[in-house]
Amino acid sequence: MSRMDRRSFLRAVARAGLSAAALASFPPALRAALAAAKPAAGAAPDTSGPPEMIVRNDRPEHWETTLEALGRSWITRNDRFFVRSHLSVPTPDLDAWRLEVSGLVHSPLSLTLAQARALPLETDAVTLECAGNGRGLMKLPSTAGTQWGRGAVGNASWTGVRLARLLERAGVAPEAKHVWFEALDQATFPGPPPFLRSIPIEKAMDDVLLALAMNDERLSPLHGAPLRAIVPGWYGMASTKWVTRVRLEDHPSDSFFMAKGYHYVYPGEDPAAAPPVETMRVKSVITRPIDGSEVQLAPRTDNKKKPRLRVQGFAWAGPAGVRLVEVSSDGGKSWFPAGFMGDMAKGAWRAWATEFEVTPPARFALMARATGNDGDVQPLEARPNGSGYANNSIHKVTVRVRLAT
Amino acid sequence: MTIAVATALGATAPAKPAAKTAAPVSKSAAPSKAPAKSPAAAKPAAKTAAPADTTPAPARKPYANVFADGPGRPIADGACLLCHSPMLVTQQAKDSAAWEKTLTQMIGWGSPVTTAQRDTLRRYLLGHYGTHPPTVK
Ligand code: HEC
Repeated sequence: MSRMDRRSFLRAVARAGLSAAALASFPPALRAALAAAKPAAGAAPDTSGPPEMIVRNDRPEHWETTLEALGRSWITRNDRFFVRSHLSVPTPDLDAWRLEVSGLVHSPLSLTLAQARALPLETDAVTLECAGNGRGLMKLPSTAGTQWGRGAVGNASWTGVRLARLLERAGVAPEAKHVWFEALDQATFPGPPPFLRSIPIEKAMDDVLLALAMNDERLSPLHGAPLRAIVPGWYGMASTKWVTRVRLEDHPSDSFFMAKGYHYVYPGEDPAAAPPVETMRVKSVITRPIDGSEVQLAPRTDNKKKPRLRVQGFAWAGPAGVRLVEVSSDGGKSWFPAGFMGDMAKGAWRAWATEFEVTPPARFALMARATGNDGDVQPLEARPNGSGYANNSIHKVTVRVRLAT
Repeated sequence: MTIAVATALGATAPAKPAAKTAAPVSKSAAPSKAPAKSPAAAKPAAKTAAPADTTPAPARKPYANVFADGPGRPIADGACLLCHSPMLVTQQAKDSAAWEKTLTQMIGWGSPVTTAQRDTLRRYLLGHYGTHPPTVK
């Protein structure tokens, strides 16, 4: 544990409020450090935390964006972008940092950060969604993992080195079939497996970026500084943060988070045959109106016309992209297409909006359903799987409307 | 009783089969002509626009960040906080078998739970963080 990590870890443990018995069970050195890190009696309660985010776990950081914040713009601000880390955030020595390309390549590479930054850079807007987004809403007999709501998703503009160009420079051997991303994050206590995953060579040679910047700012430590993978169309776990080595192998990574984690284990089916979690399922989210809110509608100047309620959100899918978003106000009996608006990019979500004429005062539910270019349609209820992955159930919000006075 | 209160306005996207077959919400409610202001014309705020609100809502922390008091708490405090905060545990609702599975994994990864403590810990976790209708806070 680096000194910095250790200090923040100790502070976090101190905040958690340990019982005397627990303290006694720690090794003396850790006990002394904990005592020193304990906040003084009468200290103000901990009100820190990222604004407009839902802290589902504080160590390591599992932060979800509120739908209010998410809905504001097609690009999600860096400080409103969801955070999901498996282990603790590393703070590498950037002078010693190297990006290595090794394994089944003709000429292995080792680049300093300055060298990596000097390579030709490309920028793509890419939507990332945590595979567990919506897990907390999936009906399962037992929970598992972080109980995310709907905001573990965001869209950013990523700038970096195209992985394919780097691999071409290193010269890919014909037997290379999988690209492993090795990263710098480690647990605060020895034991847990490294977060090591791989992607197939076809994907690596297609549109993957090794990003150095997010929305025109250098990557922050939370988002993978100094360099992370961005794998468009795949759930977020594929976009490894803090990458320091790209290794070419003839087989996929067999690490825990690849071989055991991130599989769709459906009840009653053989876990050994469970399909891996890879591309994102077609999905849409309603960011306006907010579920449970009351909306005041301005009367129309022509009094015979009903006031209008604007409904909007984002929709995305895996590599196929979205073709259609429809909205229902009658529980799914009838659906009306929404219009797409604003920016468009291959790996990015699309903003959509529509308007409904309403008769206030009223209370009703709105549902949004996306369809992908591959014909996949968002289901009313996604099929439950043990770890609650890829919940793309249709989003339903209830809203009350009143006439503004 | 459900009253038809909302009527979809004309789609701005290319017409899709769904619109053709959709039943009107109410008699007077067939999708009308294009809305006065087409959504397509309404671009979202500038890409990196700051929130209009000058005082953004503070962080929401929906789960307890300390373990509940109880006979197993000292064990949980000693064995379950070395790698992550208690929130990861207090947000769970697991049955006995699921807690057993988690414990096996955590102990395998280095959580210092002794054989003598294990049953007390599992019962403690089940008692405080056992199954209930799942709700996202
Ligand atoms: C040696 C480090 C370590 C210790 C000690 C540890 N955990 Fe964990 N635990 C982890 C890691 C790493 C993860 C998250 C893996 C991930 O991010 O997907 C995790 C995840 C979890 C989860 C979420 C996954 C699930 O099974 O639902 C729960 C709950 C949990 N731990 C409970 C506990 C409990 C209870 C203890 C004490 C008996 C404990 N942990 C001790 C490392 C540890």
